[in-house]
Amino acid sequence: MRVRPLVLLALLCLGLLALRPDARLEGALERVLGPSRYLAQVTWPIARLGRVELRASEAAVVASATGSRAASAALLERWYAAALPRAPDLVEGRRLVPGEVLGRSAGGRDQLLVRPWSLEGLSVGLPAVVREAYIGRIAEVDTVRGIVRVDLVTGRESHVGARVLALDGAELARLVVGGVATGGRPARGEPVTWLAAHHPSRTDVDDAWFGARVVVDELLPELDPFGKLAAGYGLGAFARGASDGDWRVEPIVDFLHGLSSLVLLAPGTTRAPALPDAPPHPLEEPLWVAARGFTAGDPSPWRASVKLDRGLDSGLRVGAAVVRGARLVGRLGAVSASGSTVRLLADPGLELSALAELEGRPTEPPRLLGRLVALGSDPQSGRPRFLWRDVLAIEHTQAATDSASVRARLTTAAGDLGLPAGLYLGVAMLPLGSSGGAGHVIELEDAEDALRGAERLFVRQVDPRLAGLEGPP
Amino acid sequence: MRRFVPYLCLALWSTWLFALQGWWAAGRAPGGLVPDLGVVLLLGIAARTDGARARRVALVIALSRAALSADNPAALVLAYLAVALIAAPIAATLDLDRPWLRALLAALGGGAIALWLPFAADLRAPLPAGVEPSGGSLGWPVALATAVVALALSKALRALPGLGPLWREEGSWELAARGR
Repeated sequence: MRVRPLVLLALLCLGLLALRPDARLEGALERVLGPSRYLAQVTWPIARLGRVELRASEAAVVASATGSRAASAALLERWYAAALPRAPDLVEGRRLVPGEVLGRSAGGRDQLLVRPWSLEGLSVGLPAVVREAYIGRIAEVDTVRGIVRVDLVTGRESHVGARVLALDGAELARLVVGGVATGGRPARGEPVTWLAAHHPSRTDVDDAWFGARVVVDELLPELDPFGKLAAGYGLGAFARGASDGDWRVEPIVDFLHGLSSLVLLAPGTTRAPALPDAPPHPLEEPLWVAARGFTAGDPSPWRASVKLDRGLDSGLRVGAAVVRGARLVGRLGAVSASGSTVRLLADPGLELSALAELEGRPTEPPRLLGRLVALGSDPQSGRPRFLWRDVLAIEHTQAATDSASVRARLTTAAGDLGLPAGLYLGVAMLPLGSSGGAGHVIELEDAEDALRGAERLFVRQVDPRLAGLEGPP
Repeated sequence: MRRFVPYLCLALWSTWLFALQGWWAAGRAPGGLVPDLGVVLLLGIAARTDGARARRVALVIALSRAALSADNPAALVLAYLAVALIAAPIAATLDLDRPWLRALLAALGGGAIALWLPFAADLRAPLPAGVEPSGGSLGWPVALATAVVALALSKALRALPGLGPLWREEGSWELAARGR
């Protein structure tokens, strides 16, 4: 049988389109496929097959949502409080304005979009910190959207004056810190990243210097008029690079995945009277639209997705959070005019940021786990599995040095546009100790089939004030 | 207009079949034993039709699956077209209605699609460093389940109401004998 050249050409084009995404062609394909979405809706009785058996659970889910929301709100409150600096000399003479990281700017990974609790008194150049760590300074105050853009110290053009301090507080050297220095890519995991150090005041480095604390100390007010506000905040530990004279700073925050909330420093007197009210819990914002899932599952056994009857026309965008009660069930993967696809928690490759509240450690603030990447569901238990890159590992406690893991309640953390903080994820056992860069695999114990019995799901719409803001590619 | 009615029926039936497949795949299938009902239906029709029609049938089946799946539509169309392109010349020389040949082709087609789709998804949007693409281990279970269903249901699926005009009653050998 002869195959026409046209068919072969079509196959070639399909192959390219299948392997190399092109936004315009994909958009056109979505429009062509539009009618088929309506066709798919006629299969809704099959979707109901899986729901009849547990219809009663819907009421239980809705009833428990209130409790989960209250618990998440309390956790968020503790989390925001944990981001505040504590040391008196770092608080004195400054007004602290907490802020929630909404995501990264379209300009790149080195600029954060932040929603401060209050815009009052904020201006370009003010420093941004997380606890006692300096992370960057305000690049723009957008009063229309109610957000600020923060240039991270990891940016190519960023720089800040710094001091290397000995254990006794004596100054060992001065240098300029800014930009990143990357190491080689390990066999597994992401490349190790340091802050780059330039223009050292001394080059006769002693081995005892490595590991010494590097703190902000900007000498030139014409370069950084608010430098005094950031003075004393930490940048990391002094480290040696690949060769002599190649100095680096090992950061104390995970700049890539570990920024969820921060504090902006403004001139002022004391912290307490100036701290504004916390924003409402994300579930209380009027940004949620009800949607109906009309499929029972994805025909591909390795995927976990559901089709919804709402799309762009309802203000939904790719990456939006989808909840049932107060529990996150997934994020939107593809959105067309009148429909969308939810990538469920077990869909391989789904990414989200998470906060963990450790059981048995009531005095500790919540932990930011950073980025979790879905690995699919466990073949035996059906539970969603995630890869957790433990940039900041959870250490053993003195009371339980022999246990290998700790039980934790996970909720989403801010840092992704469309995915707000405080949505319940589930309970997981978190391994203690460092994985050495490979990451730990964790399972959500109580999320085997979060959709079963669900009549309605709720999807977060784009905040009209934030429309048009997109993350980096 | 009447030419399109069988394809519309095919779209409806294949959408329902994929919806059933999705329901079965959503945590109910033991060991990833999820048959590719699209391959079973396609091979059933391809056994008794010409290459051009088999390709059109493959296109409709792929688009039906795309309507229910998070997989990339282009990857799905390519996968089912490839099955049709391989099946058509075989159907012209061998009797695809022979149970074991049908089961073998169904296993190969279902298994290959189960391997292709995760591979294509990983190439389109690479997983973060260190994360192994999942789905690679599903080739065998899907192939086995597809073969079993093809043995049992292939003829029944192509006999669904409205699909008759897409295939002929006689096999290739009967047609050749009649022509002689």
